[in-house]
Amino acid sequence: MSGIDGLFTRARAGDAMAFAEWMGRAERPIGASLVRFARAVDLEVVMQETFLRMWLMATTSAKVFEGENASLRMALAVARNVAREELRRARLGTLVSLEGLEDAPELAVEPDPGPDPSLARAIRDCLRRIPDRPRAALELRVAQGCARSDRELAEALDLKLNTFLQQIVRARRSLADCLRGKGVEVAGVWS
Amino acid sequence: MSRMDDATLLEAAVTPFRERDRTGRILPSPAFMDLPPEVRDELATRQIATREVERAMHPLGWSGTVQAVMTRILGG
Repeated sequence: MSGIDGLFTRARAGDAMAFAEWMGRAERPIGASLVRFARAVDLEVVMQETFLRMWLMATTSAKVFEGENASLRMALAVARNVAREELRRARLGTLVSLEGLEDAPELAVEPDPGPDPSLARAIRDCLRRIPDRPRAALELRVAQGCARSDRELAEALDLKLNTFLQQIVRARRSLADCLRGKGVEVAGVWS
Repeated sequence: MSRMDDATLLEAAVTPFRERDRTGRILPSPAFMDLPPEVRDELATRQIATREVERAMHPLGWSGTVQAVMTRILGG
């Protein structure tokens, strides 16, 4: 049994921490498989809904997964279905061309090998070098952004929403400059 | 609220926070809905990179997406 399927098996026994680790291994490949939907649907919605359905499947379904990386392959199929559901909703009110999206071939994906300690170290080092105000905004977003809206976070820092977001943009640019100086390129932090 | 420029709008859509409707359905970010389609490609790339930064900053290595789902799971 592959490492990612071992984590999913533990999740089936109700181990939520194992499920969190499973999500960490599945997140990048699922994200990569969804990029083709990026213009039409909010991928964050698809990711969160996919993971919630996989948790439900883990804890309430007796369905047996077979083959290597079976839990990841199942998650990819779930993600594709969730994206299609979102597409159907998007069709009601968008001018984005959706032609061909659903018929695009699947990408071959492998589970994530796990955290990259050198990348994490470089990011943490660069975060320390960001000026105080932008760093405070970014740190608060990272610590609480999963459960609180940006408007709430801005109020906690006594900032207007636009100012809060602009501070995060500044933090991102500062982080990008620092990482580039270390020879690290993480596409998207920085554009 | 004053109108956001594209860079600020993009940043507003990067957050893992998503509202839910009364049935529990996760709703798209309002900022995403306001983004021009050609900018949404950039959003996807930026979300991936942001999740990387979140993993580096979280004590258990959880991205914002994983944190949001775990909040839902552990909170019932």
